[in-house]
Amino acid sequence: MPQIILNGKETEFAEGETLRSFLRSRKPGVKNLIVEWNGKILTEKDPLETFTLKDGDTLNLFSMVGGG
Amino acid sequence: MNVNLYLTDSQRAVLEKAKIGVAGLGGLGSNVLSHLVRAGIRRFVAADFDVVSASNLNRQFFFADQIGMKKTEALAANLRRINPDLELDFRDLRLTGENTRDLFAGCDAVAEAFDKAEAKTMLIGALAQTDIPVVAASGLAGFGRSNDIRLHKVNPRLYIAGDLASGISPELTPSSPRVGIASAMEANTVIALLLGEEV
Repeated sequence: MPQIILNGKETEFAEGETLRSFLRSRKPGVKNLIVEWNGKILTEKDPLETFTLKDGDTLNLFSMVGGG
Repeated sequence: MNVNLYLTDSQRAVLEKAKIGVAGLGGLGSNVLSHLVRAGIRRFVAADFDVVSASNLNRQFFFADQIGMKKTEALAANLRRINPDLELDFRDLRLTGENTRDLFAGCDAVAEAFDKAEAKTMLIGALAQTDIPVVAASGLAGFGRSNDIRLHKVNPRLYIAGDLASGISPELTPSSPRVGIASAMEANTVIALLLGEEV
């Protein structure tokens, strides 16, 4: 199985999986994520279904919660 | 007026010409601005559509006799009591995915200082494709757990201060100390980025 580095940990993913489907299965129902994918900053408003994960990608997820 | 007598000449030169954006003038934004003005920064662009209310006084840089005033007006007055010589472009409006990039064009950094998680994400998304560094905050409700509030470097142009988990809820309310820690971290990061110091 190919692997990405998710928040510093090696994590397997299915060949051909997109960023959108990966987040849906690993972070179901989590809203307001900031996604850092190979240095690029993305949010759920970006076309995550068009980005296909590759072996060795780095992915870091940051949860934005309310309060200020 | 030079309010920070401790700066070197080169630090003063950098901070005096900097222009900083602040998105939201509540608990985070009002305190971020207080720190930045005291540091010697003079030029700001900021937006907030709210008025000062009694529930703000537990953590925001406003005073009891300002309840009912526009936050843009009340905060401008308070900051000018620290330094009368400020260039403040404070807009009484709601920031959206459409107007955010235009408002903050030309800023050297933007501090995200909203209350709502959706607005925080919107701002980061809106500025993600620009060269403007963004310093945001997430996870600061409640009391205690000071050491859980950290600065997370997402990439060289995005930093998030907070514990990334403690959202506002009936059990976890906003407080001056924890909002203060996060806003001081945001301000400290903005200053470090401007001066080329380690964040």
